[in-house]
Amino acid sequence: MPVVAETLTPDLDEASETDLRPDRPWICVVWDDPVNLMSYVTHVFMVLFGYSRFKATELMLKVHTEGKAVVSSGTREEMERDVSRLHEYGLWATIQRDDE
Amino acid sequence: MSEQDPQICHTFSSQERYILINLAEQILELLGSPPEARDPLHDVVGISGSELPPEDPVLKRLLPSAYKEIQDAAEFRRYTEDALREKKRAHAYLIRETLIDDEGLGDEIVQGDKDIESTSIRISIKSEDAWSWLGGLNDIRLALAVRLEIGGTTMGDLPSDTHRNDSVTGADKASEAQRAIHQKFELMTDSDPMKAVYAVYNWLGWLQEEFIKQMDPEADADFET
Repeated sequence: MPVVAETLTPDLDEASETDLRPDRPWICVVWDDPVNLMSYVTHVFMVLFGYSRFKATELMLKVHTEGKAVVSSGTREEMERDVSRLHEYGLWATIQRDDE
Repeated sequence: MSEQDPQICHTFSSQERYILINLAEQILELLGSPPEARDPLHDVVGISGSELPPEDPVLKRLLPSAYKEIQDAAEFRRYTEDALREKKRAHAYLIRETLIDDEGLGDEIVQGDKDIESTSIRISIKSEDAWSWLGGLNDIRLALAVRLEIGGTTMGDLPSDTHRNDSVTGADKASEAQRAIHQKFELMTDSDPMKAVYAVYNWLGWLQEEFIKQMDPEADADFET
């Protein structure tokens, strides 16, 4: 992701949205690649998952700096749906169990 | 896809128009015929039968594996790959159609490239089509990146968990790699065809940023490749 395209606007209310309920054993991971633009990835997260600009930007930066980020969690079927939509928009995503 | 009503307007020069139509057609060709053209029973069953990742490196990146476990990946692919191909075909097809059909020039243009080359075009993309355009442009950029070997030859292979442990180093490495790629193509002679491909790749990145800015004025995009 070659382009820094977002200005971070701290929003504490939206920063703690991550759903960590124990009954959601599958996760969807997005992996970094050098092609997808930062602004594009952020907007895909906002539009596909309904995440706030702040949360989407945070996840995009995590992918960019750490090489990957968990972008959603839920049942296996839900994660397969998410991965399919991410693949449709060209993001590099995989599904795995939360404990892997 | 969004609650707002994004609409994109853009003017393509005759040359840009010609290039983008051509690239969209290459993606369509690469993705192959729709399944119903191959097997009339496909729609009823909904399974493509293909379990292995595509061998073509571009297709491998456009249709990546969803699981690290080979068996899970194969099963998922068998049930979903055709639907994914169909969506990507629809994105590329829309780009092609928008650039050909606008202003009712379709029939004229299909008869020969000459007409496209001599006609610039101003397009407006309806809100419901905006994300298809963005996804389609992204697929073309991914395809060009594979051909340009941006990101090495491993794109589309299963990711490794050991990829970048230290976050600071990771970001530095990423921008360093980006600079190296840029420099590599800058240093090429103008006669090297790959230099032109890289210029198109960069232009499409700019175009994506431009479209995102129009859809979301708050995006504050800053393109600096």
